[in-house]
Amino acid sequence: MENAIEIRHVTKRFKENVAVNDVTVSFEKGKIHGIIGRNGSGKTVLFKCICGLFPVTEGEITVLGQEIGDGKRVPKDVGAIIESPGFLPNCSGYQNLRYLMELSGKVDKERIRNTIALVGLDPGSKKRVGKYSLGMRQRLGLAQAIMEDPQLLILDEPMNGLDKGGVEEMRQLFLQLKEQGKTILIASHNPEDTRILCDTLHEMDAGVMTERELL
Amino acid sequence: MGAFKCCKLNFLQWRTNWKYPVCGIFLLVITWNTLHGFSDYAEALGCPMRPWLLALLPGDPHRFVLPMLAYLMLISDAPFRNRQQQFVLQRVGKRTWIWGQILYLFFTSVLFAVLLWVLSWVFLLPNLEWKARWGPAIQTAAQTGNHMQYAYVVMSYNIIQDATPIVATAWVFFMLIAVNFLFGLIVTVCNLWAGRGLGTAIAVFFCLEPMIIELFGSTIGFERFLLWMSPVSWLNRSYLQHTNQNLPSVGYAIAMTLGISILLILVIVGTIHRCNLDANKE
Repeated sequence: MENAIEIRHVTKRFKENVAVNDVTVSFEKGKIHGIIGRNGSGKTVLFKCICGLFPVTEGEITVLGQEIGDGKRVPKDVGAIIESPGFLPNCSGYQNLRYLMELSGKVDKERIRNTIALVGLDPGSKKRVGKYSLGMRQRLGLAQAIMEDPQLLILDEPMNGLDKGGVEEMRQLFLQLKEQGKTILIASHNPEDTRILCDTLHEMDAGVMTERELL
Repeated sequence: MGAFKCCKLNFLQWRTNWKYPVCGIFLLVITWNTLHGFSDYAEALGCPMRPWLLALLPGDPHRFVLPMLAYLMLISDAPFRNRQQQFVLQRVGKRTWIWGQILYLFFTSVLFAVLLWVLSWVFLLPNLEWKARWGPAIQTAAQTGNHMQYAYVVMSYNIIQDATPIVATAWVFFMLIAVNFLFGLIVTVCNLWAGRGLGTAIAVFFCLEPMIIELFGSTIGFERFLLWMSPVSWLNRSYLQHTNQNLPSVGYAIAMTLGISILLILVIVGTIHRCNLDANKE
């Protein structure tokens, strides 16, 4: 099976601090892959390297068959949330997503509305994002990640701020996306998420990644 | 096109960033405080004012430093990384994104110059006359200094002698855009590579330099030397070379400002792929 992401001997250093230490791993297409680890283990830095926000110090990363870094950007078929999502606080959820979709090309208004409804928000709401709760902002962040129908989703703690019902909704959504052939890479420290969702599980600790058995 | 869209997103944030209304109000207050007295002065002389004060403002570095510092407040965070930008970066890539930030710096410097130009004459209404010469009020003020009881602004007669009002105003207007754009690029390079604050500190030094030159230049003996490295001073035409005075020329001022800006743009765009683009702490 083809790999969505290939990471080969990737190290990321910030001056003296080694945030990601010689990580080699591949993530197969069409599956949900989990990465667990405590705060400061290097998960978010690794995600930023995969998304092209941070250049790697050593090693190579290939995303959907395309090597990234050194001026080469991540492919357009990738949706991501890394850390807490941020939006234009004076604009509604719909307006925020429209501005982002404009960057990629043609705006599909119907698609934006459907995606907002899919994540459990009201697509017709004029409420400004500045007034959103944490859970609502997280849902909107998920909406921006999936609205352009990407083949690969990179989600850093996607259930943050969601209540029990919201978590269950999102799990069902991710399983639905997996059935559509999408690849999802999730960082989470909730064991339930990894048990219910993930086909593979890896753990990061002090920048080093190891494969874990799914229980 | 992507760069223009990124630039537009930065402008959309004006509604929620406190710096912009604060800067606007600050400019309004300081220009009113500095210039409104000219209307009374002109009335006392029995003639209208002409709208060419912008050309003379850089001649008083103690007052001109204030709007320059206000502009620095707006751009001190360049290249404006925030959590919303991560979604932008994923869609357009680093190179297009940074071009968007550069365009934003340019358009902001243009808007700032336009605002300062408007404020330089709006407080003179209704005693304002739109004619292409300096007019008796400005000529008298610059020659005699007897406007000081109305508006405490130093006015350089050399600027009036050196050029027509339109040329002198256009010079200040376009150099203001160029110098502010240059400061934005300096802040961007330093924030990307050398740590936050250094770029702003360098730009603040350049803003204060005309004052330093005026206060200490002749005392420490290298006033003319400092003028060769003082972009804000170049807005003041009376500091530029006319004959063999060992002063920077108009051509030098343009070449240095534009040349260094082009160099910085090349550095920024050429090295952005090596930058760690993390959101600024919000």
